[in-house]
Amino acid sequence: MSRVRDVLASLGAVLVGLGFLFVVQPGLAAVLPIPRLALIVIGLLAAVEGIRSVQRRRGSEIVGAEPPDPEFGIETDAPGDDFDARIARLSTRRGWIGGDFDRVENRLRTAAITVVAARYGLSKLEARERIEAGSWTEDPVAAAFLGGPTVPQPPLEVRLRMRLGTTPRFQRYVHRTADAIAATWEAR
Amino acid sequence: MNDIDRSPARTSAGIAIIAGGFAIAVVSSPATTVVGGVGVLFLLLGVVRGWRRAVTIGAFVLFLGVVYAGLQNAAAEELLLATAGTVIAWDVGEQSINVGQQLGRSARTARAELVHAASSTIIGVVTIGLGFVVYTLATGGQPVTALVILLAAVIALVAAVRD
Amino acid sequence: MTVRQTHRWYGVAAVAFFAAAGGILSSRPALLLVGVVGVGYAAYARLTTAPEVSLTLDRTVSDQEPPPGSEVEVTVELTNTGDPVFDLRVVDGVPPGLEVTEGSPRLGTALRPDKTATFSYTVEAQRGQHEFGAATILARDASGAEERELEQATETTLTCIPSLPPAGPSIPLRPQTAQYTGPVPTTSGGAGVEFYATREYRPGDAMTRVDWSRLARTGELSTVEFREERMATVVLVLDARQSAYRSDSEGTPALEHAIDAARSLTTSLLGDGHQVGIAAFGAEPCWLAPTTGEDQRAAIRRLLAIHPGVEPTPPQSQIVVSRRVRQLRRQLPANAQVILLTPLIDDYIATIAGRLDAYGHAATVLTPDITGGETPGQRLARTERGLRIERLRGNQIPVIDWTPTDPLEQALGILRERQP
Repeated sequence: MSRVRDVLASLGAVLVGLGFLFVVQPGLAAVLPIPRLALIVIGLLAAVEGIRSVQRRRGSEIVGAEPPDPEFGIETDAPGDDFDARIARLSTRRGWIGGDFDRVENRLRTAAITVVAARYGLSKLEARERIEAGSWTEDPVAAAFLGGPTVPQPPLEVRLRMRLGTTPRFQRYVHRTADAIAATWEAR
Repeated sequence: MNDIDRSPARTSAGIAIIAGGFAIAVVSSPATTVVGGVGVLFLLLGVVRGWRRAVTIGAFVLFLGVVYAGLQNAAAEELLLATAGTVIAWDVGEQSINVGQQLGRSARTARAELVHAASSTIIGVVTIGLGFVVYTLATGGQPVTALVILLAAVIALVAAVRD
Repeated sequence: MTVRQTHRWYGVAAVAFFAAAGGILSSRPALLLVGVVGVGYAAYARLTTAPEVSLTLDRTVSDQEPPPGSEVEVTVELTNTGDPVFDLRVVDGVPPGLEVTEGSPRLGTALRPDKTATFSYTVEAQRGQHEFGAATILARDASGAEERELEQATETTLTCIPSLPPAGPSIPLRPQTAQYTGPVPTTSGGAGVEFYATREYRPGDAMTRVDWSRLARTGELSTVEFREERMATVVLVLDARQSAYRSDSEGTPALEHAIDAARSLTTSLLGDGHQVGIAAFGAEPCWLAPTTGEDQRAAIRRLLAIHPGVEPTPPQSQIVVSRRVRQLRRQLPANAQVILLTPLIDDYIATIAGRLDAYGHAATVLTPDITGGETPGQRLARTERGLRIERLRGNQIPVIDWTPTDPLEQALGILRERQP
């Protein structure tokens, strides 16, 4: 590889000399006519260099270092932000991995049972039954999410709105259930 | 969550627009002025919004305008100056974007920007100077020849130095 | 040190070569001239290289031990001890716990040999010991085609140790066990309780303790202290796990609120003559045995500010809390009661309160409320925290539910009202 470099470098040096010679002694150019072929070759060389430049550009973007951003203090989430993030992530997954969804449902169910028991002065078992029946909340979506098979599906218009909306279905169900639980707690 | 203001650096943005405007002004063909004007508009969009692609397109359109003027037999000095102006517009424009991205608006960056712009300008002047001298001196029927030889020399040397 | 190509000149080079080629092959001088300029720039881009960088970095701060919340000016001086650098970019290593409030820790400059560039910015002082990191240096050649990245470090430390407040609201303590030979004294007073002393009334003192007869006589508000309130041994236990660094709507982590509360409680408890100690479940084991006196006051002040167990930045790895709890059990004096300061973000810390209580160390929980109500997740978290508080109270563990925007004495007053 360095042999080629040396050849090119020497060629370059010779050409520089020649070029300046032609500048200084214009008559010389007429006397030593550079064959048309040589010019064509040089032109093609230039074209080749151009193509090589394009190849390099094609394969690489303009890059630069990305230095760290030290201007800000520590940034942490509010409690519950991780829950929202996990729900958003789970909602977009194609393949359902049972464990994750169950955990979310369990967390909501546990919270719901305790909240309903506290709100209405019931025992845990009675609260569980009420949730199973879907009578703990006015929100049909939340009732359906935590309810048993006897709980009716949310009304058609609600389901249609959810389907047409941009929020994924799972996320909607979870959000409304979380809100229903929080509302029940606030109302105690 | 938080992010600093990374808009393109002002000094370079201004210089880039001026260089583009200069390139148009130096060529006396009305068609070039129109085409070049479109180029400068893209350039402006690029350095205001931080879009590299707009800067590249703007410079390229400007370049086409200059080439067109050349094919209409504009003077050598006009072509040389306009080309240098176009390249400087692109170079300093992209610099304003990368400085903005790496250092942000609140940082003092004028010195780095000015040194870079000055350096580009010097190269432009040198290239124009050499090109102009060779072109006008090398009369005697084959003005192109000398220039071509020198061009070949540059290509060879450059290819030799880095790959 | 990394050297990278920015590739920014590739497009220009391509166009230049094509123009030159076109000019040669079609014998158009105009295109050739245009190509010449472009090729000249392509050569410029290829021939310049990113310089070897040799710099010295000097950093000074306007106050190395500033009071919290004050503005500290940081001045950086960069001297070139090597070859000229045409494009020098610097990003200073501001400590992760500090925020830049004015100016910028970044600079873009060019430096000839032996020249110095100076820039400064302002940070707001926060509790803790803050070490500045290395500055990131980016050096490009004149054409910008090549970039060299390196780090330059110099040691600078900013230490901010907030002082303890001069006075603080008193916290109702749980009855001490195992210290008295007789029946366990209750906090409600009555026959058999020994009068000890009268002192000046402090906001937050129980209404049942006010010396009304003295008020009627002299118009002075004063509080009566009973003997069983003397010489309690109290350990403030801080929750400094990752979850305790969650923040409220202002962005302040729960731990900061907990430490604020700890400072106030330290003042009032020590002032009342009790023994106070500190422990924390954090990045590093943290334990200061309970005792009284000025030395202890100073030690607590220092610990709450700069101990590695309660740093301003969250711990990097998981903490094995169960081990820490066992350690704490071994370290706690037999008659010590604990006040657990935690945001109650998870169930585990609530069970710890219960466990310590069961082990014979009467527990009180002081919990700053950092929950928000903006999203369903946040509302759920708020509800779950409320449930944990109820559960703890159901197990006879007093809980002080404190909204940090309200004064602490208000929350303590509410607790007092709860207790019969």
